[in-house]
Amino acid sequence: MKRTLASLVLLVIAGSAWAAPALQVSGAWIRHMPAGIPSAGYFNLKNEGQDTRYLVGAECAAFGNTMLHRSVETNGVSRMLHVDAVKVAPGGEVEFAPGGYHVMFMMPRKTLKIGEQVPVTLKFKNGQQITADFTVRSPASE
Amino acid sequence: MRPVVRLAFAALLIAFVGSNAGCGKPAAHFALSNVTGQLPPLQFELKDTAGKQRTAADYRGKVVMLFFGYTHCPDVCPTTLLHLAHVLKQLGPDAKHVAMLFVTVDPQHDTADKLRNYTAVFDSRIVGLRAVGKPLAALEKRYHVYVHKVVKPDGNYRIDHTASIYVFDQKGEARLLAGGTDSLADIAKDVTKLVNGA
Repeated sequence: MKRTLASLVLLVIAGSAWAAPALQVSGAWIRHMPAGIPSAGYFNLKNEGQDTRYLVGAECAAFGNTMLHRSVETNGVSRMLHVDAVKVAPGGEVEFAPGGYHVMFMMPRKTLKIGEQVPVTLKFKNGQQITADFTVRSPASE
Repeated sequence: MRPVVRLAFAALLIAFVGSNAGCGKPAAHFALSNVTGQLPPLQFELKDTAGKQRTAADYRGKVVMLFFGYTHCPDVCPTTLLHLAHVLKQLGPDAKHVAMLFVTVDPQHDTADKLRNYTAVFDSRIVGLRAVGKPLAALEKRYHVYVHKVVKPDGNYRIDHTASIYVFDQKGEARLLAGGTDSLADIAKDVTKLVNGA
């Protein structure tokens, strides 16, 4: 329970005090990889607001380059597609999970430690930005 | 071969082996795609991460799980390797009769050191193998492995590649093909059957 609460980041749109918290990021984590090897981050994104939101990018100080990607497998061939925008409808949610949507973290600036919390800023088409802590997890724990 | 042609070929291979319910030995039933008699026996010339030349003969007597990927692959490859690390755990003592061979499709970038560090994250029993040029091309051709590098203007690249796991028996005969939708339990169960002589 404590863990769930800790990993649940509640976000309020700045400047619109009357609006209910619209976008929620939960269960955010980054896979711990050896030095110099890119990694991937995953999370659940919920839109509890009234408007459709589009996730268009992410930024993390620990990595030189961060991109939204989606893995697809067709006829046994795996492909990684670049994603320009991920639509989250009102009341809807999008799961970033292994084998599907993921944030690709490239050019690591330092080696992350397992258990460390890494702030990642998610950017939306309407200019909104959300910063959530991603927990660095050992691949062995997946 | 042009990428499109190769992709069509890979699709054909999957369709072909997918529809092939049971030829070869009649006894064993497998959850994975049975490719007995559909793919050539295990054959390759690659180097391990210690720089030692490896061939299929080194793994005779073991069930071999051969798969392809690259360390710069952030999502699918770690997921596959993780899957296989769990399979090794599930196999328990039988794991010593199984060789898991991870062949990099990006040998220019994946040095022996990089490859070793990468596989060790998941399970040190997973063997990283590499070759530059002809030996790799020969292996990819032999098993209709689709590999297509896409370089973006900023220099970043991705490599689309066959994600299937090729399973060979102790004699080096191609037997099964595991794909992304096959469960860990099914893979472990079928590999155990092969270990026990199915």
